[in-house]
Amino acid sequence: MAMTSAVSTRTSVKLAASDRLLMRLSMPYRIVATACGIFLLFVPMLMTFYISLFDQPFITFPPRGYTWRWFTELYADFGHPFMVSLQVALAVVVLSLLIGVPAGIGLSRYEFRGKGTISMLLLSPLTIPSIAISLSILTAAIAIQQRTGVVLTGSYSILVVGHVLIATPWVVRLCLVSLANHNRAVEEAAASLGATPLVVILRVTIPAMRQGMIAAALFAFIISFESLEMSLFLVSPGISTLPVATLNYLEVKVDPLIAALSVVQIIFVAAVLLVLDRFVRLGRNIVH
Amino acid sequence: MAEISDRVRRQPDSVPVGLATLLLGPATAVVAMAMVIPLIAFARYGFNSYDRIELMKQAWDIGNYVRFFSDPFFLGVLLRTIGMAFLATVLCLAIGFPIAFQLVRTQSRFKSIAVFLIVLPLFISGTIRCVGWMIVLARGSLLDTVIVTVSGARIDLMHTTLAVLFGIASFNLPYLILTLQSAIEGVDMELQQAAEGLGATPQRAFWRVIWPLAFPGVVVAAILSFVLAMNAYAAPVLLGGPRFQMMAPLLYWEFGTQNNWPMASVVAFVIMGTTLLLVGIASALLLRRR
Amino acid sequence: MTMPKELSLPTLNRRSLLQGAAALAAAGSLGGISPARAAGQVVVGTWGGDFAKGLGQSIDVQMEALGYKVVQDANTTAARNGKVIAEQALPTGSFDVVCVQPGAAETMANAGLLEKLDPAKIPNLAKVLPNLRISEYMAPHIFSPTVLIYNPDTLPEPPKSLGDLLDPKYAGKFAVTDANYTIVVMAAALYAAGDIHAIDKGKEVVEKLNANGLKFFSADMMAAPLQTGEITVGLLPLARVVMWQNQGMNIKAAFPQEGSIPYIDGMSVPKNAPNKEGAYKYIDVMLGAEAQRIFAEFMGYLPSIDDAGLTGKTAEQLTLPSPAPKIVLEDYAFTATVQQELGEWWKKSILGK
Repeated sequence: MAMTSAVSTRTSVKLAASDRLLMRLSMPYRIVATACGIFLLFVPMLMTFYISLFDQPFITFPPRGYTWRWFTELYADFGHPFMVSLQVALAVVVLSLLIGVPAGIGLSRYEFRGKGTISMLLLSPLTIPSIAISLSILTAAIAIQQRTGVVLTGSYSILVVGHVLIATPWVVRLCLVSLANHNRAVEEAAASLGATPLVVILRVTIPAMRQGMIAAALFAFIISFESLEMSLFLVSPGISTLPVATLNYLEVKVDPLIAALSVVQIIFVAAVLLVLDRFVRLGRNIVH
Repeated sequence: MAEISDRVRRQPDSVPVGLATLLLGPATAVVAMAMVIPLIAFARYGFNSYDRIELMKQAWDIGNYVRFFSDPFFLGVLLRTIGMAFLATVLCLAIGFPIAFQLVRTQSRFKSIAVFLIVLPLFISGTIRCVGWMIVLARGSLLDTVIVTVSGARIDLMHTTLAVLFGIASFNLPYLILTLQSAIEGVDMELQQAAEGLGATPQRAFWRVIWPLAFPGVVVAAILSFVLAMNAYAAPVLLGGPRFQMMAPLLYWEFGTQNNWPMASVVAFVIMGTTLLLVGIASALLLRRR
Repeated sequence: MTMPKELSLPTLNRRSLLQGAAALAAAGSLGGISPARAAGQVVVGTWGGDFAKGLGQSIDVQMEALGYKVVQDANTTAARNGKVIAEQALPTGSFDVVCVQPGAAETMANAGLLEKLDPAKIPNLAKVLPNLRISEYMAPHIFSPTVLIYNPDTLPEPPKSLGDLLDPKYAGKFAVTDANYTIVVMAAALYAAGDIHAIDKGKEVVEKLNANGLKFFSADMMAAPLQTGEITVGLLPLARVVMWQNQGMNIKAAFPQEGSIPYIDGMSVPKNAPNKEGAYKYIDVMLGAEAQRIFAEFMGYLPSIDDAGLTGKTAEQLTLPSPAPKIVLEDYAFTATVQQELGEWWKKSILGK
């Protein structure tokens, strides 16, 4: 008895020392990490606000003067790609929810052979580099078009399909999370009262997933709206997405116009998020 | 992903086969038709041979793979890509974990503002975020001017490894923080309070209780960040400049500039194979123990 | 403007009717969700940035007055050529007109991807300067001698030849454009052997330049580093000097004594262009005096036709210095044979080092 307690006292003293060290380290570390995070995320963003007002076509400090004119020139260069991105993203939200929500329910509510494989398959677009998927979709589209004459290249369809592929895993994941947190007693009660499985899903499960589905829709929208790698090979003349159009512009030059584009996009996104937040408390639903 | 399937497996139901097919069929079919089949067809191209005018000649030849793995240039690009993905992931974890942890612990009314500020960059495309870095790091920029006035020496920031690392890390960080936050929130915070109630310091309670439980979520977050970085296109092209070679731009070059489809297929499957291999090893080593 | 509008209008109407019928037929078939291709739509694959803006002001405006809708697809040379080649087996491709450089036009023409341009359909082809009649598959758009451009504020004494830039005092101070590697190598060959065909000697010089800290910027992006002194010299078309001088920058040009290779680019029509008549019209407008004048005023490139009628400041700026500098034309048939291998060498031995 005496011996063990002596040992445990010694270890606790040693641990207490290491704890003190940790405590001394952890506070500065947390501050430094947070500062680095703020730097990585926001300094570039704030700089674009400043640059977008420069009255000169190239970026050197100090500027020759300040102007709003870049903002008025934006629509001519980027209005069309913005609309394309918006349309594609909205189509992707609808399609990925249509296939992803049922898949999420199926994976969470039923046990069957091969379930692991299907779950892995559905989540796999997250782990396969999308640039490789994008190129293989293009070559497949060309091959199909050559053999059947069905026009796939140069259409919205392959772009939407590509984006649906990478949005669906997020929808499935968020549905799984939302269902895992949901108490199943209600579903079981409904079933024991004689409701068919389909009725249970329609009347009980889906209404319970409402918040999760909104988060899923939001994520599907983000994934599509900002995907560059998946779009690289699937865009075509007249159907260029905003990230690709931005990249093409940036490969030629950086100027206050592109900074103005960033500013408009940041403000637009912030406004949409704030409005949505009033309805669904994003902070809660994306994270859970 | 792992923690989800664990939770899912809890309660098996009797399976209505028709309904399950109806629920899972469409998504499975889309992934199979739009991803699996095109990928297999594209993998086949890697064994064809290249021809300048016909583009591709049917063949069964592993020459392209041999060429990739025996060429120091290609190998260098592959190693640099893996290295960058690894560094970016470590950097993101080191910065992201404390931020995510504080987010979970904070009860203040600033929490929703903080979450909003982290979610916001997610919605802004990676290319736009690269614009910010191009402006911050460019010669003659504010940062450059400050460095020159303070130190008297000039440090080139643009077109460096550091620039690309910043670009990739800032792109991945919000994804990582959110994934980590959900992993940490999944851990019952009362456990920590209980441990503290039994006399453990907050730090000790953290390392003994919270960290082991949150660890699988951390691994999932790290894998996500690693895959995103292996794939990175905008950051190396825009911030790294023409001399900075990574796999995704190399793939674009083989396909677009050189029109060498067999080699493009090889590059694509090398990225994919390496990513899946490393992710597989990481999950086997880090998640098996539980 | 030489183009008779009243003559082109009836053609347009008949053609748009035919196009309309074709569009209806396509819509009836398994067309997928293609964007509506307006009857008079012309898709032009071009470079982004100022170049695309210049095309918009000089050509698209006129095309729209004629009832056409011009869709610009701004992208890199590599992406555009890659797309034309990728789509070669398809009955209808993405582009009606592609902006090309002569070497690539030669390669694509050899592979049977380009339409031979018929002077009967493009009357203005007759006005093209004799030296620029390089290929029957490409209508030259502009040209400009490649020169050493420098900032007199940071470099009072300009280099006299490409070889001067091997001097350590230019270490890290000289830039070229990554996309125009063929001209870089041929300019180096011209310096090393007095012959653009001597590319092995040219490669050696470029490797030495590379060891001396060669930098890369796109043409548009070279303005800022020249201003800040990050670089002192760049190898670029003379046009950029004119353009940047007009924007108030202090930039000058030095013609290398071994000779300047003109940068040329033009436009071609892919064999599977959906709207060939529209493409021919576009090229005809491009070769018209008005489009050529506007483009020259905007970007400082020299017109490819003999009657652009430049006047005033532009004419003065675009007059070559006297005594006339030595100009050496590129041999595009030769370029086409070496471009692929040169591209690989550039990627691995220059960019990769």
